[in-house]
Amino acid sequence: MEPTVDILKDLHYRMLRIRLFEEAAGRLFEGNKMPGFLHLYVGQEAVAAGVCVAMRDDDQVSSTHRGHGHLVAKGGDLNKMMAELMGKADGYCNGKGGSMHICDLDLNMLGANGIVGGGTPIAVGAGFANKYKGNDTVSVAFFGDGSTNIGAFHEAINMAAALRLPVLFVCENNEYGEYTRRDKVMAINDVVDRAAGYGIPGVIVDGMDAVAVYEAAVEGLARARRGEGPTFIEAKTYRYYNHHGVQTLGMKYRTDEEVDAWKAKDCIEGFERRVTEAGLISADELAAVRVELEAEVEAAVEFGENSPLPEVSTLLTDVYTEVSR
Amino acid sequence: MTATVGIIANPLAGKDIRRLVAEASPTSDMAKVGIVRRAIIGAAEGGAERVLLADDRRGLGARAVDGLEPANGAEIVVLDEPILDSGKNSEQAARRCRDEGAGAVIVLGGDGTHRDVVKGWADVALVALSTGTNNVFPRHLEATVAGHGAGLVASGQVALGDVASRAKRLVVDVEDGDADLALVDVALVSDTFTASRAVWDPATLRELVACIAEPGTVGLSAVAAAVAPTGRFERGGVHVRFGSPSETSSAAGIRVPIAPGLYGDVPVAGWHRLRAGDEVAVSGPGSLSFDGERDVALREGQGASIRVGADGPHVIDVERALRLMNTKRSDL
Repeated sequence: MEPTVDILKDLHYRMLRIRLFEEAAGRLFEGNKMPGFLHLYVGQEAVAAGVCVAMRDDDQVSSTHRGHGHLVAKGGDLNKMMAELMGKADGYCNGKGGSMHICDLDLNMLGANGIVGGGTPIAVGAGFANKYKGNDTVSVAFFGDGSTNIGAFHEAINMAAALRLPVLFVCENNEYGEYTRRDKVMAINDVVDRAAGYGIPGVIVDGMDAVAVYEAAVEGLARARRGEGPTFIEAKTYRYYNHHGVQTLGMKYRTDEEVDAWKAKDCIEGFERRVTEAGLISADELAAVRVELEAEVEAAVEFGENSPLPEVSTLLTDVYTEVSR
Repeated sequence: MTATVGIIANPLAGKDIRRLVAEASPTSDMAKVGIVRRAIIGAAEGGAERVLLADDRRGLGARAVDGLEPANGAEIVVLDEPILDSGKNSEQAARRCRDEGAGAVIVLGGDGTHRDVVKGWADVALVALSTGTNNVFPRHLEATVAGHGAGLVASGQVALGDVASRAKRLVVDVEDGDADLALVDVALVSDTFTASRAVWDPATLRELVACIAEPGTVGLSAVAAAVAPTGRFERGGVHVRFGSPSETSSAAGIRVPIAPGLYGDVPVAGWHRLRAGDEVAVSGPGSLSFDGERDVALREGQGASIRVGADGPHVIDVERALRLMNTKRSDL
């Protein structure tokens, strides 16, 4: 299905919003202005954008330790995100969650997740609830190649398949689990081969091409909404930076040539070239979007820097949910 | 010279979006590993002394040879090439097979994989095996005997000229672009993006040039077959023009299987047969699909020319090779 110009603009907007946010976060981290861990999504933007543009606002997302991109693509508030990454009181989790716990239930983003494979059962639980309630909402599980080797992933996808739950499984295969090459820990090349084992359809898409991801997501979401159960999409993609942070740790676990080959397929550069060449969006319009988003990101950094640290007195608040009796 | 057979298997074949938009089945890595092992065993049995197996860092080839000890002590060489995650892998593997002196190459994949191999080695002698989705160029054949046929040719027990026929190819020149080729069909479609590559919506079709248009196939070639059947070894081809549904009467809509399990009403506006060398000019905006896959985006007014060439790859007829060998044996 050929995307409309409005959809193309939306794809571009969400990809670039992720990229600029992540680049800014990376600079702060390198400048020691950001505590904790930072798993950057740069390189993989076409996956989050392609899927989220195809989704409805009421559709839900479960995410990973590399989760900023999914929240930004769902429309997350950059101010609250940046403040949270800095551990500040105005952040999404009042500064006490950090990078791996950002979530926004109002946007149906069910949370990043520090536990590899931990997000998938959450999406399946949401899918169970949607089916039980009889609505036509779909939940989407984003997960990496490495997490498909985890027991929780297997149990979750098996349950979704057996109960024909309205869930879209989106595997972002970036070829590495932390610092370990996929082929060292898996005896199959394509994670999608596992889909047949669960009895659900699966496809491979070019995860560096937002339109390709969008096309597959439209079909997978429609299947789920029609009551036909889960679909598995494997997006072949790549992260440009380190597993954690920006620079490599001196551990040469991938070659410069490999990184450069993937950068040559950059999702944003390729997209901008094609839409301008085809006369669908002008270069001026793309540049204006970039200026607008740069200002939004800059304002978010300022917001985060100006936000106070959480008060010591709040240390034990939000640890447990308040239960009304 | 060492009797050498090359094997090129596309790890990505059989996994695209046609499993969602149509009813295509998945082809797993394990299925491919089994096919490759059977092809190696057959090639050695047929007389190959050396089998070159294209591989990349994904390791499909390395796993396929794990613990395998083919007949005649045939040597298996895994060609470790850089991972490119595209058709370029098959293209560079074909060049390696040529440089290493392969007498025959077994190709495992779909129409697209065979096209990539021929892009790397234009006059390759190949055994075409289907492991892709809806294939026209390669045929369904058990890998064991396919390997055997390749072994017979590579070892010179049967002469290539006695068992192979020269396929056609479509020669494509894109304005400001690279020269390109297809083995079955080239279509201009309205899609701006090559995206998920497959073509399954008849409404996007603008023009089609086919050099194989045989009834009994699935895909764009089936459209050409419906109006002007053309065998793979007959001369010439077919040019089909499409109109929007409003421009053509419903009677002109031809219902064909456009993908596995998916029928579509294709609005044919006109067609004519092509002789070898006749040129068809098309122009953008849109995308060019090669053998059923969108591959080159055309901007507004960017032209491309397509013609049928008689100088495609040498396609080995495995049954003919085996029959010839059996005849030789009975002469003894």
